[in-house]
Amino acid sequence: MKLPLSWIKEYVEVPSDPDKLAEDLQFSGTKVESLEKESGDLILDFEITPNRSDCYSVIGIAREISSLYKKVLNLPKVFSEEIQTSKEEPPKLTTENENLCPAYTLGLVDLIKVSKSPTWIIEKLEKSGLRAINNIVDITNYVMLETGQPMHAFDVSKLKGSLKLRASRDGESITTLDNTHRDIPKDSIIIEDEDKIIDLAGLMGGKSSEVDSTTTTILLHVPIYDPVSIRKSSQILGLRTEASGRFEKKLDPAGHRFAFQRAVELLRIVAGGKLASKIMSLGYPPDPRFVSFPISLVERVLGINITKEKITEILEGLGFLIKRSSSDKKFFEVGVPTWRTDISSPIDLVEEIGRIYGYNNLPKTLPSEAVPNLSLAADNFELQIKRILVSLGLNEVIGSCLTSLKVIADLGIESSSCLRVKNRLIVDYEYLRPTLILSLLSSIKKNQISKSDLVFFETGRVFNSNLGKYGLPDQPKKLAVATYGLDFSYVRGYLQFLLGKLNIVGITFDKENVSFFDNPSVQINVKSQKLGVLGKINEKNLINSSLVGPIFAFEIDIETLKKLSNPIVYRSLPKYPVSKENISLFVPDNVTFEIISSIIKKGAGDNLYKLELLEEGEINKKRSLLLALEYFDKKGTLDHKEVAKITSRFVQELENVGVQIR
Amino acid sequence: MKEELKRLENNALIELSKAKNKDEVDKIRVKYLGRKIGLITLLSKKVSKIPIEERSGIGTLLRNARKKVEEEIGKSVPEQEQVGTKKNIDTTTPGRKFESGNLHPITLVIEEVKEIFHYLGFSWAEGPEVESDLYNFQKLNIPRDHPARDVQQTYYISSDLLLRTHTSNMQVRYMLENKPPIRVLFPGRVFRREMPDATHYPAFFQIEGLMVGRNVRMTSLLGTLDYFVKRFFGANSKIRVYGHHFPYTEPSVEIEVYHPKKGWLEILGAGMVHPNVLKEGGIDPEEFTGWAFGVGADRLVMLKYDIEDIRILFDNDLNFLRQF
Repeated sequence: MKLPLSWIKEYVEVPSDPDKLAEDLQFSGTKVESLEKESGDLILDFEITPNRSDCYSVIGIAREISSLYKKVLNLPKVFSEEIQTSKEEPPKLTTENENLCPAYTLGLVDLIKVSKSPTWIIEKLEKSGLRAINNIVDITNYVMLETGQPMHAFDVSKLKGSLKLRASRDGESITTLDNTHRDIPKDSIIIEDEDKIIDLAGLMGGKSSEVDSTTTTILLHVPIYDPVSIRKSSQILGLRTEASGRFEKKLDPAGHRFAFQRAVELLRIVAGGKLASKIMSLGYPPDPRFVSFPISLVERVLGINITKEKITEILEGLGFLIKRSSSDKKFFEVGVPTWRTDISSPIDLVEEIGRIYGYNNLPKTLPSEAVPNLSLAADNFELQIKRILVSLGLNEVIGSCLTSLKVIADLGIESSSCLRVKNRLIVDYEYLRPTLILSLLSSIKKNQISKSDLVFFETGRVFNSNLGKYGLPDQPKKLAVATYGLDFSYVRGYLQFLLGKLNIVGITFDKENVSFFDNPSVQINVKSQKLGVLGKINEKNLINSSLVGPIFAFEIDIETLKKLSNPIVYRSLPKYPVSKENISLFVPDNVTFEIISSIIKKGAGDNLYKLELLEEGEINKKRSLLLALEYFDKKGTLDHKEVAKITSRFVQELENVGVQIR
Repeated sequence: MKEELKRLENNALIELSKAKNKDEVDKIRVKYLGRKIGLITLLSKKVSKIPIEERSGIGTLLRNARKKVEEEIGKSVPEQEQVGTKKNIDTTTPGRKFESGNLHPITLVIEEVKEIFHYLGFSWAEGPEVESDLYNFQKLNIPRDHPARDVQQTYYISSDLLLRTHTSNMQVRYMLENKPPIRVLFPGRVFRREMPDATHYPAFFQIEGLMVGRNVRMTSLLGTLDYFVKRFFGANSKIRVYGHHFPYTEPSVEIEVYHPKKGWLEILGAGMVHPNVLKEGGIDPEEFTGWAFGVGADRLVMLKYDIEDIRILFDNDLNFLRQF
């Protein structure tokens, strides 16, 4: 909201340094976005929080300033009801549902001469960012800026019969003042006469009853509308006006009467207008409101003791009324000014006191209470696994949770199983990622041109439509690793290194089809619990996604990983030297490494210290493995005879499954 | 014995002069000087067995022979293979190039913030990113059609489900599961329905802090945040406080942080937890008070490392990631 400083000065004395004024206003909660010089004046651009409907006005800002500097607030001159009265009845306005328009003031003004506004009005409007139209419309806008209360003037000669305010029905329309024909959203607030809809209430008046150069009598209507209805219609129509922005907030329930009187006064001065009817008000005056305020709350919330005198001074300066109770000295009865529609409970008053006292005047202390039970840094499991992967030279990426239908479809993932936002802004951010591998692939794509091999990892949530914790869609945290340009032994090695560091043993692999992996991809299991999946992104999906392979990846569930992980227990070093032996095997296709290693482990039993794969190759089209085995014994050094004995415990078994020992 | 020594020395030198490569030199070294089987070594072990009168001078001879052979070995090894013995090192020659793995800068900053608050007794918790309207808005004093929703452009999955717009969704969830005293951070990803540009991204990171107890005051909110900025931005940093409005805190404040190079920056929103929110969390506002704050983790990353464009954080360009 833009306002010229010169206008504010008409109602309150301001400090000579405008930067100081802007800063003080901002410290107390009325933010000044910018201060700009314009034709000898200063234009202040305010960012008003939506709770402060009273501050969307010159008077509201002036009142804040008056309370900050303890200066007098001079309200503008209004039409006095005692001096000039009329016994004429204004046009009848019936309201179908009082919730839509709980309060208003209306009346007729005649003998007006429509013309251009005087310079002092035009200048103020233009400096405030509004366009001058004619003196009548300008006065309604002027009073809106001045008091924060919007209003509308109808040309009475263009109205027929009595008026009715109601919620709109399906299929109704209106041509508004901007010459736009608009379909009115259902349940908007409208005013109609006996012929037609004359006002899209709160948003814009109707063209059919517009004030023009021939107008002599106007109906001035100053309403308070249901904020939610105005907001909804404004959103559906994509129409925001100075008026609708104010009607959306809780306006001063007494402000309409004051604004009416002010407008009549200006119509008299500027356009020769004369009140030509009774002043009709609904819901006026509003009931006074009081808040019972426990004074100790100030210290309990702000942490400092502010004297009763200071509290009184601050609240009274803002227009509150303080009644000290003689019987109970712990409470103030605080009368809330009508314009402070945001104040309803004691805590709201603490904020008033705090912001005017100045938060920067509070001492800064550190928490002194007992410290609750803590999760220690060592419990930071996710960081622990990240550090393990970083130690292997992997780079962490953070990708987007939102992706496009195309990216999902390119990987052959069924989009119906994915969550999607129903109000996307652009197609790139529509679906929630069902797997981290999506974002890893995009990271690989980003870097693929300049690098021959890449390894990335990411942790984060993935989403699906099944129900999970709190009755919300399932959104488990996962860890995924993807490699590009490296063979399978890398991705498998990262997995086993990670599991090894977490002391997880007993890993098995079972076939599982994953849409974007080559067949067969595998499910990673530990003790019959599913930990995740592992595989190679298949060629077709790579081509669809404009990627180059080979890309291997695994994705595992962090919660499951955490459950499976075990504290590290020191394994005592062998007291006697270990005996090393390499064995070379020819292995038939149907015998997996897992089978071989379990035969060896079973046979060698407690004597096995280490089993490692040294080399894998193909000789004469046969798969050949070179294994390094280390044996030890708790009781002494193993000689070659004893080693041969250990070996013999599994050799036969290996041969039984078709393995040839070279 | 002396003749024997002379003969060994000569043989060694002859063999060394014929050696073609390092391996051969090594073999010669083992043959003559090896600790167990070296011929010169074995000879020196025999010294104790010869008569005392013959021993005079033999020690020196042995040492000299050894030294001579060692020198010759040194000479015959090609120069580049003498690790650490090169005389003229050009220290301006670049060293070997190493590449480590790296944590993402957002992770680094979130962990740093966690650590700073850990000293003040704060733990941390994570929560759902797909959240109900109830916990993201309604239980935080933001009913449907509240104007405060305007500033938080929201992605909806259905009328009741949305992508959380702030980490404040965790306030009520955490209070329902934990009794005071509460000191906790909620770091995590949040979403806004905005076009990406240099300062906006549809998904970014926030860190929320929540403290609830019997003596939790605004003075300790300000003290805690002042402590935090001094730890994070340096001892010269400080805060200043503005009145503000958030529906879920009362009083609400906005906090500007003094950055030694960039001046005052508006990066923190905070306030005393609204009594209605405490009630939603099953905590009696007559007995307990609380404060909460929220800060953009991405903003902290950008300020810490002098990054201008938020989008680079999520581009995952390796040349970017390797800088941290």
